[in-house]
Amino acid sequence: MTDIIEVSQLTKKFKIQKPSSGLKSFFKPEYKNVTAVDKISFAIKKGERVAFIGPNGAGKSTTIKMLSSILYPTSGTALVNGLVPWDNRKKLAYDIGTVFGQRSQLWYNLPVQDSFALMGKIYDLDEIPFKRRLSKLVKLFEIRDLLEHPTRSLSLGQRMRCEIVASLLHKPQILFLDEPTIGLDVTAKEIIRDLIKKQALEEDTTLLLTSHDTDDMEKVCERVIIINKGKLIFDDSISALRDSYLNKKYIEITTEGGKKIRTVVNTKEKPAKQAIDELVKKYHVTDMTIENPPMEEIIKEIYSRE
Amino acid sequence: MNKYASLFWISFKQAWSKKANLSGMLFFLFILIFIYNCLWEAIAAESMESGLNRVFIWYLLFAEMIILSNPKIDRTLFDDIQSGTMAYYINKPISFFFMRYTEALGNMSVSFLIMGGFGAAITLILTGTPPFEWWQFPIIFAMCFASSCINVLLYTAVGLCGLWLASIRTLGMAVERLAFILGGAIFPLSIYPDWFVDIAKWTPFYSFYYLTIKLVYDFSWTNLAEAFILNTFWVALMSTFVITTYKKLTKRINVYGG
Repeated sequence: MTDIIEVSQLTKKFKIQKPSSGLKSFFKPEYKNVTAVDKISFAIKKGERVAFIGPNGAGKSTTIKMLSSILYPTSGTALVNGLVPWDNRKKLAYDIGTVFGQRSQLWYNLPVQDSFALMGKIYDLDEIPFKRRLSKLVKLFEIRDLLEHPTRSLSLGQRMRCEIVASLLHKPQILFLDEPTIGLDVTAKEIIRDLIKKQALEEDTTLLLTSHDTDDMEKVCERVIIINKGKLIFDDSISALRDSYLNKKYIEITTEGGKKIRTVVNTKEKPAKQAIDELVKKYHVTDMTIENPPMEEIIKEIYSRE
Repeated sequence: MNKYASLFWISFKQAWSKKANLSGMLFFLFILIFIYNCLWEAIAAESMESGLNRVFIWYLLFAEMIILSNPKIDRTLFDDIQSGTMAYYINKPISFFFMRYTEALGNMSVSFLIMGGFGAAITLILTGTPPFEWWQFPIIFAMCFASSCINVLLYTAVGLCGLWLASIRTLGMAVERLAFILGGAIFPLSIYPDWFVDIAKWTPFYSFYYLTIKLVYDFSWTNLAEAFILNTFWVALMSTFVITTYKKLTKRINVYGG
């Protein structure tokens, strides 16, 4: 399979003004360079679903912005579907879709269907193929009941489903998703993850998904790239990551008296099911949560093994 | 339909559906026309010039149609710049600037037409027939509509100043006041002293507002040509500013990401 995204030595530095209250700084402000992305290189094949994860401020969004033609890099090269993103903004726009979890591309006061109609016009879609495409996506993302509601009245989870539909209307080959599950509750996160994966598999869409939630990558993607402080520190399959670093589960139970007990299980030594059974036998459990290790811990472990 | 025409039409429909907004605007217009009619009637009675209120109330109506139909695009653009929203539209196959401008024109058109219809009926009842010939109406109407579009462009320029300013409220208010005074949006400049008119002539407000609205009571091909030529000059100058600023803004987004 051919590479649809090729990134080589991509670097982005921001020039930031140093905080100072002196009179001198008013006339001659001092700046410092902050490296957000530091010489990262990777390639993604067509149809691959890749998680691009890291803690806050790792450089995930900056990378996505460069690959989706919003930002110019300081140095390095990138090819997205054979085009240099920042030099071919208009041309590339028809090949990529973007969803930014913290921003909306829908018109706030317009009914969702009007926003979709406008997106169709923006991407120069013909009437009949557009309607056919919309109908398919509406069914897939189960948003028929939302079409007549203005965006402002939707819940975050509903809005996110509509955002994804809006970004898929022109049938992009690559979909960039920047924190699509941010702020969502557990159920809404599950729904969004399932829908993203289902669509990608159905249409062979290449996915690049950023998140600091390890569950997002486990549920949606097959490969993971971990970035920290702008540097690429891990690039392998999810199963490789799971075997090496995601072999711990955090189990928290609440007992009948309201007492919370938290325990860490190494799944290599003991399956999670066995650990849960033991806890249920030992305590009268009223509630239970099972979590992966947080991102920070995985990164710490990756560094400690280097 | 072209993407910009669709944007225009959608925002037109949206503005049309905001009945409470439109009612408030028409109520304000009614109060304004009523009060100024009383004022001009009193002035006319004192100066023994009958029909003075008819001329100036029709003038006021067209002035208000231009001024009040402004959809506050300056604030929208400023918010887009400050919040970084603009960056997220930059990788779409549409010009963000023209997108916002077209949306504003859709909004403006509804207000302009509604105020035109309602205001004309009120003014007709209160003061009588307009001071221009009926055949001149389409020309005056088209010129005033063009002035409204220019007015939106002017406030677009104000909004884009968000690139340098932390707040554009003061600038927006200053432009609004200057439009009222130097553009003769409340009283025609012909009643001001000559030195004041000489100053006003050097500003864009003179042609954007006064020269256009003046056609209501002093229509001539010479006045029309003067309004057209001067407006074209100022629009070219302002467009250059707007396009240059927008390019600077895009460049900054490309470097800093919004």
